[in-house]
Amino acid sequence: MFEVADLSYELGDFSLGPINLQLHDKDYCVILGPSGAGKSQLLYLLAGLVKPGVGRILYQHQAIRQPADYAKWVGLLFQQYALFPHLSVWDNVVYGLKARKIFTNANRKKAVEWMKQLNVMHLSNRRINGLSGGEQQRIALARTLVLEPRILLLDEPLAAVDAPFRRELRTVLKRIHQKGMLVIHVTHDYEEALALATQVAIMEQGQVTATGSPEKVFSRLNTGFVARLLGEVNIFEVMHTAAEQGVWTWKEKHTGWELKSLPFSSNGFGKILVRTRDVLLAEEPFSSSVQNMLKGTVEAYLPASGGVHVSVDAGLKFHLLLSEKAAESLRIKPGKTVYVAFKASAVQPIG
Amino acid sequence: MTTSDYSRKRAFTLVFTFLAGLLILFIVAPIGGMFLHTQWPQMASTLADGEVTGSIILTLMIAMMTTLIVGIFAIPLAYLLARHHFYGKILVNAIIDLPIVIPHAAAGIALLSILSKQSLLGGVAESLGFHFVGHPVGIGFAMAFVSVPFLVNAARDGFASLPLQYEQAAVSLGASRWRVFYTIALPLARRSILSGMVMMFARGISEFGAVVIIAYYPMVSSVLIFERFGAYGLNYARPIALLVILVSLVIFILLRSIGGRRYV
Repeated sequence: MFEVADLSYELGDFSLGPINLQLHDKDYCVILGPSGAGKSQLLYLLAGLVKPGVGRILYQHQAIRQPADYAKWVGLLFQQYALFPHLSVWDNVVYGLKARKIFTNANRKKAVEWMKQLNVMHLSNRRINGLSGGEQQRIALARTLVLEPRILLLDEPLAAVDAPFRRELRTVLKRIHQKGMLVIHVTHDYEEALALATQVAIMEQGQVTATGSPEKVFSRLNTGFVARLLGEVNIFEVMHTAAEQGVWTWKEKHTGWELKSLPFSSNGFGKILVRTRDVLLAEEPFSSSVQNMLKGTVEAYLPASGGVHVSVDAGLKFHLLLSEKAAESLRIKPGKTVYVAFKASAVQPIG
Repeated sequence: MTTSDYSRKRAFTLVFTFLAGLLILFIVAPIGGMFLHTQWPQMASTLADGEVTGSIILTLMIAMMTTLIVGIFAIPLAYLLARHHFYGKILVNAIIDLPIVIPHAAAGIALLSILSKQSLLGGVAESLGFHFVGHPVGIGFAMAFVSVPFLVNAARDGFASLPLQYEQAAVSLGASRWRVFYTIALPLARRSILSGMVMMFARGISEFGAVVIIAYYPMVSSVLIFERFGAYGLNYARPIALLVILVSLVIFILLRSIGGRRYV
């Protein structure tokens, strides 16, 4: 169990906390928040690089106080990797082992194993300058993982990586997590959260405003940031049930409602998203090429940048964005019966 | 880009090249003049003059030892100034720069107040049979006083320019503060530190005002040039000056070339 209790920090005008978190050893916690929310600063506090004003960090019910304790339990992957440019790749990877005076033959083998697993062994003698972002990322991961931390902190690990590498690295991160490591991953990208998290913490202006499972956190418009996220997407957990004439049918896990999509690479279950801009709203059912049409009730509408944010309960909760003019002409108000519709091509996989 | 854009760009480059050329000429002309006016038989006899070569070697040795010894104190100070925020930091930075603005003869007089036998430090040394005044160690003090800002400032800027994350990463990997300093900060800032050491060494070699007050003898090269100029005239001083310049030039080219590649 990893616990953060009333952790606070102040620097000039910026204040962080009090932060409270309780995570289990096998959690993958994504701390999601906009830029400037204090996410990285929180990671630095959790890594012991910054001294908190007040509060405690506990691992297995014991307070972590000394830098040596932090280094023993916690590994941090920096956003810009922070690889040492004057050392070779190998010297970077084994730096921590040498620093802790545990550069034994057994640990040397572990370093080689991690480098092989992360596909950087062939770069062993190279200098850092000139390596690609993806290579640097994997070297930094190897450098952290060879020390076998119990808690792995990741600061926007996928932010500086190209799209093809991102998917590969997500797989690597999932694999690392499956080895039984508590991962705390900071990002502003909700897709990362959805693809990886077992726990989500929403962070805004130095405060954790929501915590819980991704389903729980994203099902509620309880913070401005989540509302903004959901202003962009509708997310559903689904199972594939049928394929017919180039159209796939999915069953929503909790309600059993059926959704149709075009075929895409999938193992038969997972999460899908429908962007709000792809969802149409009508007062009456209409005949068209759209494959998905559901009857529902307007639950709420809120002014949003670029129009009005409308929530519709159609068995499934839908969020969509209307222009003020469209909302006016449809006489949108809570309780009104409406139809939401979207094309099969608007359904996209996540992760 | 239109033809007139090209013309404007060319005019800009020409004006800047002309101004830069004048400045380089300003530095090169006096040295070139020395070359042209030096009679080479005199140069050969200067090279054979034991007092001259001894003086140059003494100057180089004192400047080098001073730079290395002062570096032991200056580099930690530079690191503190770059990485720590503390009350009075502005004052400390101002104090570091002070020797640059003090007239160097005044610096020599100020140093006498701690090195002469009437002072506390000088008195203690005197009681042990050691005299700072008129001794290479005294000359080293004079050189250090006027040249240390060059090392501290260059090293401080070098440390400050390093992304803090390198050191944070090393700490997070379990390195002690000492290890972080000597395996990460020091090697990464070494180019700036070496540049500062070269500048300090150079400033030490060229120092006259403070040195001549602390020690006329043993004669460092700047004092010897002054002495030969006063006693025998320009024709006797010029070959020594030229020799000092040539030796310095060779040393600086060597030091700069071993500065190594820049990592960040």
